[in-house]
Amino acid sequence: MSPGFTVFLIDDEPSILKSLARLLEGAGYKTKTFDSAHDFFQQHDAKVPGCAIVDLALPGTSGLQLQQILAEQGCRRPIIFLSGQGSIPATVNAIQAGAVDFLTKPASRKTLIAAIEKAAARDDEMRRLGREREAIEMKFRCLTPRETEVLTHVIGGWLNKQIAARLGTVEKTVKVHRSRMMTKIGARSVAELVRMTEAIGLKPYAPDTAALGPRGNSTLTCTTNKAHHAQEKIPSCDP
Amino acid sequence: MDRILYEGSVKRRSTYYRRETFLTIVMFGAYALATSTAFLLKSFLNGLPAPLEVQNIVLIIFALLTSRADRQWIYLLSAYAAHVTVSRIVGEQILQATITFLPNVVVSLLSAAAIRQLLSHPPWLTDLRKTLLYVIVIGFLVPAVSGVVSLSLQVPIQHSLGSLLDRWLIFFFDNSLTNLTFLPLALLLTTNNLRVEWQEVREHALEILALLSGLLLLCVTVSSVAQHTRHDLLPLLIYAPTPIVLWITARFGIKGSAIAIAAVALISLLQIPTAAGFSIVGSTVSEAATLQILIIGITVPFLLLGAAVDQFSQTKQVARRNENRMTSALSAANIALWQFSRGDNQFWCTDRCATLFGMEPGSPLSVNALVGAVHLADRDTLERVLKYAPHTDQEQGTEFRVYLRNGEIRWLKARSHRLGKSGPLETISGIFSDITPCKRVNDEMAGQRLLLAHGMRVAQVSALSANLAHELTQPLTSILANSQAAHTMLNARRPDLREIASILNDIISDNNRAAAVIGHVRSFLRKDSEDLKNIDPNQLIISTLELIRTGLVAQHISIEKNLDELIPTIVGDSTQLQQVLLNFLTNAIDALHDLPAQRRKITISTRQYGEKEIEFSVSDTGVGMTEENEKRVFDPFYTTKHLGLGLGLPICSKIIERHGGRVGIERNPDYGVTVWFRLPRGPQEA
Repeated sequence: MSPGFTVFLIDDEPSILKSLARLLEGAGYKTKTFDSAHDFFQQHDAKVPGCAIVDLALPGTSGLQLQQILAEQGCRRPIIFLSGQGSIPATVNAIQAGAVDFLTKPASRKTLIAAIEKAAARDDEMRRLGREREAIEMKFRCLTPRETEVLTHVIGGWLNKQIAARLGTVEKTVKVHRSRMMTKIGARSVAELVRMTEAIGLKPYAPDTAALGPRGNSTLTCTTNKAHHAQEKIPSCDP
Repeated sequence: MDRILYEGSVKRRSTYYRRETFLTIVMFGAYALATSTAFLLKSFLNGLPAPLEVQNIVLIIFALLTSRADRQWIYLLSAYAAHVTVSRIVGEQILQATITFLPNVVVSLLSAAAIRQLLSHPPWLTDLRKTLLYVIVIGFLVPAVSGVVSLSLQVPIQHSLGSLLDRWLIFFFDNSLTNLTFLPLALLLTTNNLRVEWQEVREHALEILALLSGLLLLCVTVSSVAQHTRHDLLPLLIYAPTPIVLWITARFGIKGSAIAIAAVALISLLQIPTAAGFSIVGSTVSEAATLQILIIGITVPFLLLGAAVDQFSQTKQVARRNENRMTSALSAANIALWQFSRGDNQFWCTDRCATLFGMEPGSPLSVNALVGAVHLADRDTLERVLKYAPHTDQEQGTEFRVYLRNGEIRWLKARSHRLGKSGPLETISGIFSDITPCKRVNDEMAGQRLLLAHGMRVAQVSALSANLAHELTQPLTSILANSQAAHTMLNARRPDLREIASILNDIISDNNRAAAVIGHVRSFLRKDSEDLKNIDPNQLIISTLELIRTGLVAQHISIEKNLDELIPTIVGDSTQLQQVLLNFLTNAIDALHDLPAQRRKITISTRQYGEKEIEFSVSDTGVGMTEENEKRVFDPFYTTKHLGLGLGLPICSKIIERHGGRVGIERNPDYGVTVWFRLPRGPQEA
């Protein structure tokens, strides 16, 4: 569990917020309570690790609507639903939309903690994956256009001389580009390279498919973290 | 089919012919008999013209009886034939017979026509007016007129005017006598129910026998005395039977007097030849006339008296019959009559009072006795109703209880009003009636109403059960979380006892919340009778909203409350009023079902309506309703919902009515519908 892992509690009933907070803090979690979805959105920080325990029946914006808004915002915070009335359609909708779990009130300590741990694990996993991807992306950004071209051909399974023929240079040049590229990226084998490119969604060059766009195009950018990107500066590639 | 009809009509026609033939023969026979009697009488009277026209009676009766027949002339013809036959036997000429027949026909038909016209229907001589008409018209006018008519027919044959006058006089007195003395008897005999008469005769047999024999004796004595008396005393003798006739008339009405008169007349007439020295006046003709006049003189008053007596006894009979009817009606309806006259403090009531009040039959029924049988609490009101009445025409009434001897309670109702519309209060009259079954039915109905209202509440709670379960789940969730948190804390090295105490307090308050919800539902579901108390309208609304809070949230319905802060309290049964509000709110929620979430809104308001009423209203922004629905929405079993019974609003309407208020529904100008109810405000604080 990441440090600073917070459980966000959202319910319109103050006594429930109070008691759940007590319970979870007693179990060692950090908690933050909100009595409406509106309140939650006003203070929400997506970078903080943690999960949300949300009551389905909230006045104003409902629990399911909250889930939808978070998804639209691109935030993958895991949501656990806690509801006094569990109808099957609601449950199905919630799970299909990506909720971690759907609990009915009253929920015991054990159930809650199990769900939170599951959420924490997922959250960790998400964040880890996110970080990895970012790292890979950063490395890939350091490539020159030529190196990028070579990269796409390599993961497409092209031989060096084929690449040379395609790009209009000699094999030797291609080899040079290739080794530079591998160093920059730090992959130890082509297989690893392919895995990395797949992780960031980079497509191999195939003769009939559309070529990669110029650098900086959407194929290289992480599509799910717009907010994150907008805020952060792109780190420089100089080692 | 045609054949049968034809045969039927043939059959009917043949019966008809048979009847006609029979009647014709009867007429012949009767007339022949009558005419023979007339001739016999004539011979008995030694050639004096008959003072009596018996055959006319036959003609008249026949004419009356067969007045509806088609061919009356057949009967006349048969009568003529009889007349001629008898005349021939006696030796008269046909021409002569015809001449004497014609006047008979004239006078008979005129008499019959007059009787039919003036007396309308049998029995003919029922009251004084009719009898008077009879006497004047049929007794005097008809003979006079027919005399003139028939004589004018004979003018070419007879000679002098003087003798014409004589002949007219003879004709007049003969027929007048016949019509007045013997025709009434014939009329009564032929048109009355003989069996009933015979019954009456049997009842008074002894009396009738005595009277008749007395009459006969008297007449015979008179006749024998008449032979030796002075002439001027003769009229007195003729009037000698008067007391007996009077008695008969008084006792037996016109029937008796008709018989008595006929008897007296007959016997008197038979005196004519034997009365020696009977000549009071000159000719024998005028003597016969005198006798006739005397007899007519005795007849007319007694006929009229008989009619008067009959009329009187009939009135009495009618009165007695009405009284009997009333008594039996009262007894069937189990009602007793009473009357109190304030002037002399006298109280009267029918015997039924005793049974109604549970007293021994035959015990004295004074005001005190009656009031004594009444329940203590009701005594004053009853006495007031019995002895005083308001100065208006309105009825007063009060319900009170009496104790029966077996300890049961019976509910009676006393109603009274004053007799005499204006002036000082003299008499109060009224009735007592048994309203125990009515009361029982009312009680049962009230019970059924409560059951029905209860049933509705059960249905409402069922519909809300999911919501209510949720209401209970909330506090249970807190309680569980708090308890487990406290548990964890207790396992720590240095438990924070203050924190644990605070947790326990929270648990208790959550528990109370849950208990309140359950208590609310329980009291909402209670079945027993109404519990009226002061209610704060705003509080009522808030507690009703609590019941459906979850539903409102789940359906994204926003509630706007316009509650008048200064609204006065009302008096009522809070459960029932809550049920009404709940019904209105549920309907509003249903109306908003198909709307997009942001447009779902319900407005609840309370306000003072005028000086004396409080108005609650629930308004929604839903689809609204048609004009037809607006009119019918309070009708039982009218619903626009698939699975609805249509009883919710009618029951609510009844509940509000019993609280003394009114309900209404109207379409909003923009969207949706507003339902309201108004109740009278509670008593103002001093």
